[in-house]
Amino acid sequence: METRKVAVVAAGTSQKWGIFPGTYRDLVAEAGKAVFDSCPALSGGDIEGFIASSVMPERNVFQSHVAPLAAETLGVRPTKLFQRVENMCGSGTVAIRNAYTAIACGLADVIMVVGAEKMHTPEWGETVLNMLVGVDREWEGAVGVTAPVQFALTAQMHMRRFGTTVEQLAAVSAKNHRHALGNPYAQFPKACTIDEVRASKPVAAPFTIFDCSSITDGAAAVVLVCEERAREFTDQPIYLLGTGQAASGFNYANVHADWSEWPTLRTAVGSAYRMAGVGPGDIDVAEVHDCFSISEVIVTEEMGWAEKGGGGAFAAEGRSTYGGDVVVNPRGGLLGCGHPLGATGVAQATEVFRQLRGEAGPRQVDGAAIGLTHNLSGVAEHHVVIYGREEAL
Amino acid sequence: MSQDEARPYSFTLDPFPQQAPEWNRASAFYDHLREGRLTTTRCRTCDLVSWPPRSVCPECHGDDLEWIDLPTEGRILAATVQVAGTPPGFPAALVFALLEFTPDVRFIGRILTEDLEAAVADRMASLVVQEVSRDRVVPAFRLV
Repeated sequence: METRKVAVVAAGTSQKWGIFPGTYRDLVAEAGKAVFDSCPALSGGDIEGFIASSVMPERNVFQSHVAPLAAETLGVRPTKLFQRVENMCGSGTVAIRNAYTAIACGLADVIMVVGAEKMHTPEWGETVLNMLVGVDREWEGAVGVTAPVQFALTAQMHMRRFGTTVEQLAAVSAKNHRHALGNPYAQFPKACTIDEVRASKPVAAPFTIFDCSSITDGAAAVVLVCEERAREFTDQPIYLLGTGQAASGFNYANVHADWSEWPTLRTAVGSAYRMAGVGPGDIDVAEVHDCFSISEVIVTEEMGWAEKGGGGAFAAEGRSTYGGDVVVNPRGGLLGCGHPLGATGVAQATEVFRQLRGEAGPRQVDGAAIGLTHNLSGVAEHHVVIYGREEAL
Repeated sequence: MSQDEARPYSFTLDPFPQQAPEWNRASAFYDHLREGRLTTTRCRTCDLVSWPPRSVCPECHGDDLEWIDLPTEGRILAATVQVAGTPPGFPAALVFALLEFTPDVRFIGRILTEDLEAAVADRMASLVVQEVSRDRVVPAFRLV
């Protein structure tokens, strides 16, 4: 089937992630304003389709039906496509894939994707309790299991099978916090050593607080358009070259037996590489889902950058930072920026958009031409997008 | 007075499932659990044993299911101790393990132990019944 090519023409985030001093509506407004301000040719009236990515506003701000809330806030009246997406932590990338699909098949020419999550409530205990909705509440949440436990067990399995060390995990954390120093909106910019990561507050063995992404308020937005109209909005469109997705199961303990391997990620990124006509060695810059330090270790293996079992050494040897094989998480990733669930995938796309346009300031990856985003929703649900500059088409 | 009793009941702030038959088709799981049995469903049509328990078989989509007993001892595949960031009602420290009961049935269980270092891979853990609020029960485990 002949499909249209799709470009990102504008992107932006809310200003400072962390505890947002305002309402959910204010948060959406701030990210939307950043996008419109960055692209003078774009107005609300241009936008035919609108997708809101938001995971648990029902819990944290007591609000459903957030797609019209967000569209109204930004002066958008969709005429071609209108929806909200919720796939837990990977929602933002799922929303971008939906926008891509609709534009590629001709359903709409111009679609805005807004990811927003206001996770902090005035009651910290309630905020933490709300995280139970993202796991199998009846069979895992009911005994107190939340994401740090799931990923700590994953880390234990990887350490046992491959000899990955806590210092290698800490190397991921130290790198991403250091990368965040160059990112104005990051929640946790910090120059920290491996020893400081290890000495920080323990959470769930082997993780300290620095190995864990946080509960964060944040928002991001991108605008995707068909190739034919990209030049109406920018001289530097960034094209979506390929995408892939795969998932298996929900109840964490039974998604597959050995969590040190992520076979659905191999499927998802394999689809994206084939569609884009590129391979692992072609990726210059990547934003991947380091919800916990172990995640980046396994992701760099399944992407084909590190050998299987060698993801810890890959980080510790500096192969995933500036001057290495591929710069992973230049904005600071989830560890450095925080993880406002539905916004994260959209912010990853925003970062790759900026990197490929040479607009990433102090964190710019020199000459970045092809970039990748990876979002996950548990160890067995993965969403991947590959972007490139116009010459990569 | 417990925190439970001090506040009016709010279902959406209650981490534990409703276990009565008018709310839950897997209510027999909890009846069995009170008897010290760990059970799940098997499809009489295609023989698939599922975890969690089902009301429709995910393989053949038949709904002729029966309850079967699982071993009450599981092998620890991996374990962790959570000392911070636990939800309200689950005071730290908490020991969790991925437990394997049959080649196809695993779940993450709480290990009740004073020795936070004792839960390690390949040790066995056996079922205990933990009572929670509003006359409900959840599975937990002790090291063998």
